Amino acid sequence: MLFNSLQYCLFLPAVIGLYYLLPPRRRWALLLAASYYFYMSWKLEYIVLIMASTAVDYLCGLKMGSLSEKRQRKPYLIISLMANLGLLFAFKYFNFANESLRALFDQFNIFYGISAFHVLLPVGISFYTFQTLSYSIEVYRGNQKPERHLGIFALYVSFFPQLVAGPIERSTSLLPQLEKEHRFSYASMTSGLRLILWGMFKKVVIADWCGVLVSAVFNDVHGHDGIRYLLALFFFAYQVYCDFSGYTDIARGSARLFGVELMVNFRLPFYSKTMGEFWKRWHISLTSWFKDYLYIPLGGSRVPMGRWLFNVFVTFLISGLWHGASWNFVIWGAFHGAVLVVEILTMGWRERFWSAIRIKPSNLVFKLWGMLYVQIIWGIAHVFFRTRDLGDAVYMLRHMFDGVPQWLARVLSGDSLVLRQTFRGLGLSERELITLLIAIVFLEMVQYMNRGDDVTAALDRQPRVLRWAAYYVILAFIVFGGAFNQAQQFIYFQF
Amino acid sequence: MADAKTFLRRLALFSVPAVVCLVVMIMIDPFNFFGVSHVVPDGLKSEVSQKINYAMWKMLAYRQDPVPNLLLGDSRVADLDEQYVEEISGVPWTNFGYGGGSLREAIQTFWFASEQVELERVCFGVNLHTYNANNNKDRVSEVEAALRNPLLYCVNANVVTAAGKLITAMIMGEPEPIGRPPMTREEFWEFQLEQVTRVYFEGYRYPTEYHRDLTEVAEYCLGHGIELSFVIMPNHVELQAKVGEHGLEEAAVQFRQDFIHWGPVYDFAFPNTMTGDQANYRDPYHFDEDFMQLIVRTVWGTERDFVRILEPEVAAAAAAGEDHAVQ
Repeated sequence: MLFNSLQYCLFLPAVIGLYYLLPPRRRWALLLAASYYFYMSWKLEYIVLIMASTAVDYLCGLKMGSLSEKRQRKPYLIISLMANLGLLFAFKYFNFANESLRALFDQFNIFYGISAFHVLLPVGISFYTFQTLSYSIEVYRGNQKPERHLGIFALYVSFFPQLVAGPIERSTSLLPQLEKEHRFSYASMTSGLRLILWGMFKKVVIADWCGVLVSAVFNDVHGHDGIRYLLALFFFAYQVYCDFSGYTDIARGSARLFGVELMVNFRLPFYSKTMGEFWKRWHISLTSWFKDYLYIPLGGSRVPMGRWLFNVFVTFLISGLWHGASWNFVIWGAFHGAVLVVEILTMGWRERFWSAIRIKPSNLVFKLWGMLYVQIIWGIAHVFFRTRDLGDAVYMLRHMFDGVPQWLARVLSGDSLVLRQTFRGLGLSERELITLLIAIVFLEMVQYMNRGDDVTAALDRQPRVLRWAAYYVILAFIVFGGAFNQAQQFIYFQF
Repeated sequence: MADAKTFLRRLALFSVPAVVCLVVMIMIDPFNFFGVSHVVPDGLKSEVSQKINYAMWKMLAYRQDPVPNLLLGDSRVADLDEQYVEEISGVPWTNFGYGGGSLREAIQTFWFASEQVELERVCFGVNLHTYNANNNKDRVSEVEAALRNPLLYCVNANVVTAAGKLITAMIMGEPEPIGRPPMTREEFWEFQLEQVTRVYFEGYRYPTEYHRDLTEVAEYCLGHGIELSFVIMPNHVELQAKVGEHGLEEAAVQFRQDFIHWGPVYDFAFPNTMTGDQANYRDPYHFDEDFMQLIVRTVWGTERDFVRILEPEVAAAAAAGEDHAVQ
């Protein structure tokens, strides 16, 4: 059940209606049933995986809670880690590891007979296993009391608004909210609905139309030239950002309708000036998860320089692998890690350079240069993220600027056909392309006006007439300009 | 509780414009999707709506009255007169030729029609410029989406535009006239020949997807006893020459060789007295009424003067520029 489906449009109001009609102590059962139904609408059998993960972590948590010494709790943490990571390995990484080993053995002409595991990747497995792992680790560390109510704990693992693509919530934040009695709140309902509306706008008006164009290029890398690669990467940035942040907005909005506040996952990442800053603003729930449970346990930055750089690199390498089981993602993660290492090594040099040319960080030139730098690095990295295999990625990078000078010459000579030809065959009609471009401009205007602010908070400050007018404009964009006939699954569902 | 009442009251108020719009769309129903309201006369709908989205008009009408014989393609196929084809072939046909249409739309329409009725005969009108990965316009997906979900029909941009024009026409008493390009015949000829052709031929890409999709169509037709044929529509010789000017000779050979694997190919696009005479054309792409009748009499009748019926070995020779007619 996709958030941008008619099914969800019926499901959500029905669950909300029942939720507020039920006595508070029964509401967890409704939410749990709704969450399981939501998950089962993808593949019925996979609910067993969530249940298994829930049972293991619930029992390990209880056991760890009963033991006072960290040393005594450790075996139960290991059981939880092995169960969750084992599940993840079996369903997500086994085939990748198996194929890599097969390729390696083939190099030495050694027979390798282990066959592939033909199974569909369970939706959201990387998200809910990480969420439940954070619970076990926090209980082990003594920061979280074990949850004794199995139903509430099961709901923590499977709460439907954030089940399949996050935000990856911490038990310390989500569990108390699920235990709490929520009264119907006008403010929560309206702000939740506004977030859903904004998320839908990003998803169906921007991400899905961008997706049509991006797929046309990336699915036939050898059939296009440099200018189309650059265009595809430009629109892919909008696609991924609007798809994932749109999903997060809908998730946060849906949760808010039940009185539950989920964490902010994006803070205008493309306004960053370095990749280090970018990763503090992009997929914050995952980045902070890696920071808390991998980077800091490795020693973080409070170690000798070489070890610090190693910690950064390894964290991003594993983050790449988290995203997908393929060499493309390993390279994607390694590339990000390498860029961050370079940023750390050149930090002082860069500061001296900007100061020598008398440009302060508050200067527009500094900001624009930084944003351009982030866009370029992001683009290079995401060639690996989006192409089907390494061959396509390398081909694309090698031919990234093929035909671009000729294209520019045609533009400068005033060739009236050049734009028409550039976009022809990329799957968008003129009307759809214009709708998309207007929507992107609208998005940027709203984001610029609300830098560092929640879009709903900004709306709250406006008089009702203006607020409603804004809602109608966004609604009109969605219903008349949305890519409903091209509806695509959310990109991060595959992880 | 007060909060809930306020919320529901305001939500209802907020929804009023949406509900009003929905009711208006159901009442106007520009493409006769619901078929419950007769506020707008059918004649006016036919005049206005099919000019806005012929695919939607035709597909919705087809759903009501499916015919097992299909003509699929672009504006040149649209120019084939259904009545005349019926007169010559002896069976009724539905013409799904869409102005500016793509092979993608034709293939999608084929599958749409195959879900409505057991097809008997299918004829695709094709050319090199439509057998091109860069020519993949798609107006059929939105119709299919609208057919699956009435809400999408009501908010479809073409439906809303048609509704607006129908309301205007009812108020003004007559539909808004469709403008003609502000060019003389010669200027328009030149524009089509130079500008439009550049759009199609520059950056031509071999259509791997069309090859796969048409193979699937051909296999389906074979498996279901459907008579499948292709017509390479007769471009004017000046347009035929553009293939060479754009260095697409090999693509033209491949184009013909691909199609002969899927069914009989009636090739009209070669130099002869018909394709060499501007008087037989409205522009380099579009033939006139007499030529249309000749095509129909050739494909569904017995005339053979200006066609090459392609076999594998003939396709290569034809693409190489040999201009003899072959029976």
